Amino acid sequence: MHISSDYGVWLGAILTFFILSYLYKENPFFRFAEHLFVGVATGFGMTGDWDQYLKPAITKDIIKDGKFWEILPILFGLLIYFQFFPKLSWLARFPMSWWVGYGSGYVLAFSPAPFITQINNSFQRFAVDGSPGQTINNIIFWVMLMGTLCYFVFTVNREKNKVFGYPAWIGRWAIMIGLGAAFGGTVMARISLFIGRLQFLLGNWLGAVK
Amino acid sequence: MWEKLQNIDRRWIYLLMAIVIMIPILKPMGLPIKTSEETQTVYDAIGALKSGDVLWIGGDYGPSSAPELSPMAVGLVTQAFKKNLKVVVYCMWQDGAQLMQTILEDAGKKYNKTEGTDWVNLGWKPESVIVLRNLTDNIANAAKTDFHGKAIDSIPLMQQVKALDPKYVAFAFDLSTGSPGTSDYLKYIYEAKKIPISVGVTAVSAPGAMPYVRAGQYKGILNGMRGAAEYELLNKIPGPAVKGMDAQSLGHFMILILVILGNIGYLMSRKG
Repeated sequence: MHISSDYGVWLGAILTFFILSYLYKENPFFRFAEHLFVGVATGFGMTGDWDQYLKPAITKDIIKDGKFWEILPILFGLLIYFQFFPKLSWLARFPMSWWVGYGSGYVLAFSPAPFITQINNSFQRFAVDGSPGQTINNIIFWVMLMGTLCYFVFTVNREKNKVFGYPAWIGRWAIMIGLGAAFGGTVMARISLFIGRLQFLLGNWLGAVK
Repeated sequence: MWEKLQNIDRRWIYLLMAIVIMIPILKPMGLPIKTSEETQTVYDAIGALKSGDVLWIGGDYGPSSAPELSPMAVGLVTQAFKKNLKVVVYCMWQDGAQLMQTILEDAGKKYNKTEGTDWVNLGWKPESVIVLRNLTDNIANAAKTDFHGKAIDSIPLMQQVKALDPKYVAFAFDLSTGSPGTSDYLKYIYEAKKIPISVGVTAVSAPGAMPYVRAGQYKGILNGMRGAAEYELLNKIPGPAVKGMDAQSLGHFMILILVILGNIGYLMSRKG
């Protein structure tokens, strides 16, 4: 066992214990680590914004390359801070409406394509030559798909209307199986995180494992 | 007694779970790991690229999902460098840039690959999704600088790779924790530019990504720590994911037992 002499590793180990202490109960050590994390993350984000975008935009684009027109969108963006001045707060609506309009258009322009491929792919051949397993899979897929779609038809009374009622019942099972798989995945991911921390504590910090 | 079983203090369960997971980390059991079809598809798709082709990697994750996604990144970069592929990395998660840089530097030293000519890390950019879309038109305009702040047009590799476009990039792989991530690569890179893509995701996100694998939109998928372990084995570099799989299996086994016990307790207390 070779305990680490790196102060960064020690700090990581101590903060890991502070965070995990929440599993016992809420306490000041957890609170300290939580606030420290929020502060560090915010600082990290702000310096990243400056280093990766604002600084090159000002020093390279505007000053070195002479793209002075880039000052205009910067000034336009700064209008957002007028929301702190009640009499002139209407000026903040201009950049906000630009962002909302641009963002909506951006999403609408690109979002349908993946779903159209998905819809196309939902038309599967029932009988796949030479592959009984795939044939069964495709039939199950179709039954589950139709059942799930029927489950989300809310304009009919599913208890009275059996045409929708039975498939919706199957759909409910399909959804529950899907959620079960998602829950299994969630458990796996959470355990993976804990394994990562234990590998750090037992390996990097205590040197008990390689 | 049955009611007591249902009301065990959760802290005992946490302690039990910690012990169960810690034992195989200290003393590995070597449980077998079988390669899934999805992982093999990823490996074969990247294996089919030619020497000199450009592999684009999205490092869209942070330290919180590093135990699952970093081993995948190591596997990808290793396979790429062994095949003499050029690697360009772009990160839509800010922490991902540093994580990817460390992985690239380590693998670069191991396989004698030089930053700037064999691989480039574009780092993270604010409004990262819009930047991703703009990278498909012109990398130098959209990214401006690499991870170190060096101008894109002064980097030798980037003089050959002008855009995230099929003309320059042969394959894209996104390592993603959530959003921004795989859905953006699906929209802007696969559907809009027709660059073949594949993804490595946390186990939480995997069920949601599977329909895209089935539809052929993703060329295979690496699913959580399990997918990472399989990929490590395919690349013959068993690492933290392979070592973690014993603990993963025992952890799941214990949860299964607890769920069964909880249900027995519930049924028996109802009977009583």
